[in-house]
Amino acid sequence: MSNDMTDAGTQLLSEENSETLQQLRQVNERRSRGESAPIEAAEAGVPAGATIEDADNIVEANPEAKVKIGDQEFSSHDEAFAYAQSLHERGETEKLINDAYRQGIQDAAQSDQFNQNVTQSAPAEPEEDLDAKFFENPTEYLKTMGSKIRAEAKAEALHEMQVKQAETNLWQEFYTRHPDLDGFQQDCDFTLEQFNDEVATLAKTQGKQKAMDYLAQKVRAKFQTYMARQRPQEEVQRAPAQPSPSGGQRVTQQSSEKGAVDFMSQLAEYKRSKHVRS
Amino acid sequence: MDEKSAQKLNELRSYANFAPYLLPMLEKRKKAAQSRLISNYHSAADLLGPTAEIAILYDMEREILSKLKELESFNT
Repeated sequence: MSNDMTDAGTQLLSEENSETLQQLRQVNERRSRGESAPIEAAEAGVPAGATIEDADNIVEANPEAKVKIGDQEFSSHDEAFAYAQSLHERGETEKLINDAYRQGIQDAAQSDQFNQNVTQSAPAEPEEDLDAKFFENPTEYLKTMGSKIRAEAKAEALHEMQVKQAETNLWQEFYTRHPDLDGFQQDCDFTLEQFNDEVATLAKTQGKQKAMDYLAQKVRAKFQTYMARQRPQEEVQRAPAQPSPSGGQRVTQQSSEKGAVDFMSQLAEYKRSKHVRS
Repeated sequence: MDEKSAQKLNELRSYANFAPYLLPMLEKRKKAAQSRLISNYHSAADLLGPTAEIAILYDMEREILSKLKELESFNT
């Protein structure tokens, strides 16, 4: 920091002043060695006890020395100081500082490092100043906002509608390809939910129709398990044949079984055959 | 039915097709705006934005419902 200031001070010196500065340096060196510098310093037109930091004062004394503040150049420090004071009074000093600060930020923003930090830290979306817009022209604001919301809502609903339509078309295609599953939407939906990942992967890798076939196969497999459950697990016991209450011939119950018959049946059979022979 | 009526009926039917998608979406947006209104009120904009949005969404809902009613009366 002090080096910067020294550099700035040095820049202000003209060629003649640099000569004076050289003399000042010599005086200081001699003083540091314990020699009597005041006399030589006085010879050089430098007040006793002056140091290198007093160079600015000497420069001030020289009418050709120039001081710069911003774009302005001043021939003396007094003028420059007066200008700085006036700036301060007008509040422009802060403006200059703010401008310089903003410029610094812009410069920094251009560097890659800063950009990385920004992307890592927070989303830098500029917020709309709704307050200002509303109070500037409330009718216009509401009109703009209204049309924006309406458009958004309609677009969103339309998108949803298109998605639904595409879904319906896809199912239609599925049922055309597998007509035996038509009317089992719930079962198909449920199965699809269950094997969603596999179906999606198949659709991506082997195409839509393969995915449909896979789903159909899964739905059918499920139906097969339902059917297997419905089949009787035990053999149904046949009820023994009962003689009809009227004693007549049995019309409704006809047994094709030629198994063992009881005594009464054998007797009836015998009587019938005897009757036929006679 | 004359051409004008047929055109009107067509328009109303398109509203009716759109309504099942639009109405739930309006409801969803209303809820979101209400929640924003309740949870965040640091400036006038925090109140104005969601309030205006809710009003507009209600207006849209009313418009759709009136069209549906019109279609119903048209059919009867």
